[in-house]
Amino acid sequence: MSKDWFDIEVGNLLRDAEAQAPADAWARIQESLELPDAGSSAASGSMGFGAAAVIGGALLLSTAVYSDLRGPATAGSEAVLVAEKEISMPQAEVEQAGAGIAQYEAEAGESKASEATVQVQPIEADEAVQEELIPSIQSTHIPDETVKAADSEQELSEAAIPLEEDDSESKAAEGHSSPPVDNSAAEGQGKETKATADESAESPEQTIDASEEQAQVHTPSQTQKADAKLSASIQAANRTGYAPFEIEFKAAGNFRDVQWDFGSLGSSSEAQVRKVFDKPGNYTVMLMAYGADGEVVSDMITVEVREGSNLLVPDSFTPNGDGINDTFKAEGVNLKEFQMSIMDARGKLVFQSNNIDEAWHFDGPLGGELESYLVLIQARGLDGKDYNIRKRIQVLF
Amino acid sequence: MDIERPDNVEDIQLAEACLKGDKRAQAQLYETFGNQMMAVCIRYARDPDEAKDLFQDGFIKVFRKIDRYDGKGPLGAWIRRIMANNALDHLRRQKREMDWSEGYETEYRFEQDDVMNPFEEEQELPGRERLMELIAQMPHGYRTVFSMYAVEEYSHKEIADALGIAESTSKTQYRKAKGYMKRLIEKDIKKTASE
Repeated sequence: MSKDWFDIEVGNLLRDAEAQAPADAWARIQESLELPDAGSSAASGSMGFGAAAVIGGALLLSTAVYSDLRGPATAGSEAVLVAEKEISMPQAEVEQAGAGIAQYEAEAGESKASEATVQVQPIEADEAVQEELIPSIQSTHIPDETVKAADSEQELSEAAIPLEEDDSESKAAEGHSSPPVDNSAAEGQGKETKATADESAESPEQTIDASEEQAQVHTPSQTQKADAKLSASIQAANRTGYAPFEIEFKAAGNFRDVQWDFGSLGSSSEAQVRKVFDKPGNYTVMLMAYGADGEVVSDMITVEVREGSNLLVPDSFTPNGDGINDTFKAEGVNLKEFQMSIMDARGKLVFQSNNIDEAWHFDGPLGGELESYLVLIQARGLDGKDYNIRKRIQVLF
Repeated sequence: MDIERPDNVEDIQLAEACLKGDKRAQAQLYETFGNQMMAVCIRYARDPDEAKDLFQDGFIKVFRKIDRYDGKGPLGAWIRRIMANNALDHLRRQKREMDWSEGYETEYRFEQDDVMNPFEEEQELPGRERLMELIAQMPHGYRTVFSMYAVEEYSHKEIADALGIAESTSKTQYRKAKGYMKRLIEKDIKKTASE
């Protein structure tokens, strides 16, 4: 019993369907994953204040507590300092752990154009958290692998693109300005610190860089405080994407004014700017920040905009042996998934392939009657674009 | 594999990071596949609460078994199998009879629809969201077999083993489920057209 077009097409559509996961599911899943480790459930229980804070979509209890532990010494300050160094920090970890840590593709954002998809949200920041945590600087490394239909050889270049975030992250750390510590919360912190230290002891895989002394915490909307040092860094959630690539840039730090230079895309003096990069290429974005005394600091990042995907399907072909369009195949660029099924008028599957370069060689009688076939293609671009094609093609002689 | 899927390199890296306990990688995996897997659970569950349980249990299994991902196929497909198998185990453990008979006599009167129609190229299909709604209307037994064969692409032999039925029964059940599905779609298309 083999599948017909209905089985295939309905199957494909349902396979791509999405549904909203329950809001608390991620928390429950994480809790369950942590359960075998003794002590961490106690830690999570005591972290009332900062518990729900999120960095980059991951639930990290320790960091939020940690972020509160700066400022004047309190009763638990020694323990605090010790905990500071031990607490696992995901950004530090990503930077320092080097080759072992995965570089994985961030969502290309809006380009996932499926019907009415609702994004699954990991736990969002608890409103009780006074400080806004830096949005995750995700490793958006889309490897240099382009699937071009025309090329017979497949390029598979190194997936390892060095992390670019290192520079701006340390700058962000420098740019951090300490919000005043709430002394009344200090008491509770003694316990939380201890619990934190316990929890971090159970994460042997996470590399802690002791030299990274500050958490990535800051309040982006803050204007420069008179007594704080001038600093500025560029924040952008993603730096690599597919055209058209929209990025929200933020200037973080302490300054009075800023000036952005987006090269061919112009300039701005807003602290927060949204830019759309329409053309593929590498762009340099520069930020200049000015202090009250006329000093200047600057930061710079590179944005990589890749070509989006495309897929073209012919309407017909002519298997008459003249060497021109004797076979049938689709053309595409920058695709990562592809499946083509071809069915004859009776619904029988005559061809199927996951390889866009594999052409269909017509088997039927040449010079016979006009034949029509149904082509079904499911494909997905590296940019996340979905292709769902259903096309009737003609075999002409 | 034919196309050197760039995905596999990323998939393997993501899986490795999850294996190491990298919480951001785990969150990334969840964000990437969560919605799709919820749809899987909805199709196999009898009710929304069960879907939620299947979803959570399924993902826990995914992270616990991530070391078994061999990188040969896409990570999404591997995760899907874990989720579907988890759902099937769960249903089995419930020791409730798969309701094979549900809808069998009463709803399903359109046996003739099973006959392979001549090329129905003009027949539209609803979009995926609508299809999800329609499939939810199917009796659970049909919905399970239809999902297993058409969507999760189990073979009839695998379905037979998983559900404890004969392979021929699986084929028959699928045929009927498919007819049911076609009927639902036809009614829906007509309804939409007349609105």
